[in-house]
Amino acid sequence: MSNFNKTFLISRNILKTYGKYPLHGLRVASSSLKQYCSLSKRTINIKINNVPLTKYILHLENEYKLLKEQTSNLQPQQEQRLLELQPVVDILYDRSALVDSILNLKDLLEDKDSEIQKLAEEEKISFEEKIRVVDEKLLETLLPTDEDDARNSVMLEVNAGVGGQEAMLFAKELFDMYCNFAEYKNWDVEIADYLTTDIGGIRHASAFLNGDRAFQYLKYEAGVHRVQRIPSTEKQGRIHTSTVSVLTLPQPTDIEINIDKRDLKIETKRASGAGGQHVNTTDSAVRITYIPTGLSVECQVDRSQIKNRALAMQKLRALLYEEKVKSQMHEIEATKKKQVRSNFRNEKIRTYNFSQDRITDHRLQGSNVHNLKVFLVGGEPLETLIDKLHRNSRIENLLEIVNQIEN
Amino acid sequence: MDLLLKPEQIKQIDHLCKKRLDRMPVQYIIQEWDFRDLTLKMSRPVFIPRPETEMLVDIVLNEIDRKGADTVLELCCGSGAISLALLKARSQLCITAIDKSEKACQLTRENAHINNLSDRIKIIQKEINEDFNLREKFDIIVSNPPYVSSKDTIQLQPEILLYEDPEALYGGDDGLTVIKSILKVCSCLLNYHGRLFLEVDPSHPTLIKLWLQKNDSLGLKFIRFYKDFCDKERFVEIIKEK
Repeated sequence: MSNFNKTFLISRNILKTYGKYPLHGLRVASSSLKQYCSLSKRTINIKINNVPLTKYILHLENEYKLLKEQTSNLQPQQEQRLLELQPVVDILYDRSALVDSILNLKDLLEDKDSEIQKLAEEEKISFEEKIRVVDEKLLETLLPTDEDDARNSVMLEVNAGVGGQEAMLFAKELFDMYCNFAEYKNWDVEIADYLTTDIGGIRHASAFLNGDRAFQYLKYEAGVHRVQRIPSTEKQGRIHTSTVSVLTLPQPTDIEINIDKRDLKIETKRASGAGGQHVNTTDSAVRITYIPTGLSVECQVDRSQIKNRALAMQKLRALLYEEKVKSQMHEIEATKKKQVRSNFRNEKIRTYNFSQDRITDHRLQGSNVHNLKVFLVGGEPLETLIDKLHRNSRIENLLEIVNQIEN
Repeated sequence: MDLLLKPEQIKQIDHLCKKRLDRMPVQYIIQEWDFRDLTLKMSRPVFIPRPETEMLVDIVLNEIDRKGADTVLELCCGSGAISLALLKARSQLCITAIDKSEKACQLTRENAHINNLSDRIKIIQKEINEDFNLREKFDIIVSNPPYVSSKDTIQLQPEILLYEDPEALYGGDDGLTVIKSILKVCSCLLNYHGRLFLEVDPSHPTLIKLWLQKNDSLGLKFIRFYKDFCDKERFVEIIKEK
């Protein structure tokens, strides 16, 4: 069966069966996802945070179908998109096969023999379990990823904020927590700047962390952290509130410059006329233009044209490299501004309340963490919280995309 | 610090300028020019290598690497540019270079010497005709033979018309005379599946393809053409199949 036909059938199967077997797995963080299925077999009605995903899934399928129809002449971006959509379609196909299997049990379920009926019932339960697994996979696939997540190198900066010595003490505790976390994740840590005050706090510290997808984890730590406790410096036993701000910036990665020959326009003084044996000139100047950006380089230092060409390519490569470095730096600068701005606005991302032994992350609802002491060691509890934040952020991004498509 | 030219230097510059005003090619006036990473001696009337041919060297280097070849034959070697550039690029290589002109053979020899490549090149003065034969056979043959057609000769620059060896330029009415002789001898000189690489006029690839189909007894097959940096069909690749 051709892929196109396959897709077409999937669409029909989905339309037929979603009504009866709603996407079980799309349950997110303590049932923030609600599912509804109408009685009509032709309607799909699934919601994530009260926003229906139906249209979005159909939209993706349609997009896939359209791209598949013109497979032979796709732009590189479209090819990329097709690759992105393939897993979604594959999963939908798996799902519809499972739904079919359940539908095929229908006769057996109504069999007069109670033994057979029981067996069919068990079979059905196992299929439904498989659907649940597939739906988890589907959600995972639908959730968008951030390009920056792949960055392995991060600069972490911790600054004491409001609260004097107490803020500095807590800054040190947070900084240590991140260094421990890096160790827990098996990342490399290189401390760049770390100055302790008289009583052992830090005004400012920074480190370079390097490890698999380090930025994906640490980006959620950027912001203002608030601490509420009785400081060790406090004599009257009053609770103070202090803040520490954290900055996490991805570092530029190794840049690969791949130049497609088709993107180059190479000009020489020989462009007009017969060329070859018909012409003799000593002009060996070469100009190469990189069409996508219009960047152009010239070289005429050498008497050999092929050497001028090689030199011009070298120049071009260096310039493209510089352009890429600049744009990366620009992006990083933008991230930094965003983080600094929200720090400036004092956007608290998390509160550490010692008297109640409770950590509240203000970006998540109803998911407090307890046991501060263990949390500040920077091991599993921190990772669990970050994972939640990651999932939450991906859901928000997905909803944004869904929203754009609906409108 | 200012540099004052001595009277004899001024005289020499005048002399060189006069040559140029007489339309002598710069390469003959200064008696040298660069071809890829080599500086070669240039002497009148031996053909001055053109920049297109630098690409032919790349094409042949590719084939040498693909086959792991250690011998190559060059026909119509002129100043020796192609052979010497190949030798310079691949240290395992030995080349037999042939030209009918004594002056060309002499210049190739000199250039090989200047560039320390003499011990890997065998230079033979020989004309490519019916009697042409070598004891050896080759997997790779390369040539930039004369390919300018008669009707094109009048449009040539005076630098070429007046100073370069016409024998190194003209290929008869259609520019194919020498190319056809080369194809005939290569039928005997190529090993089975050996390949011939030629620089030609952009009008030639189609003609060569047809001619080889008509003369299929030669056992040669046109494989492809390559474009030069001006996007002209400048080089052809031919394979020995029978």
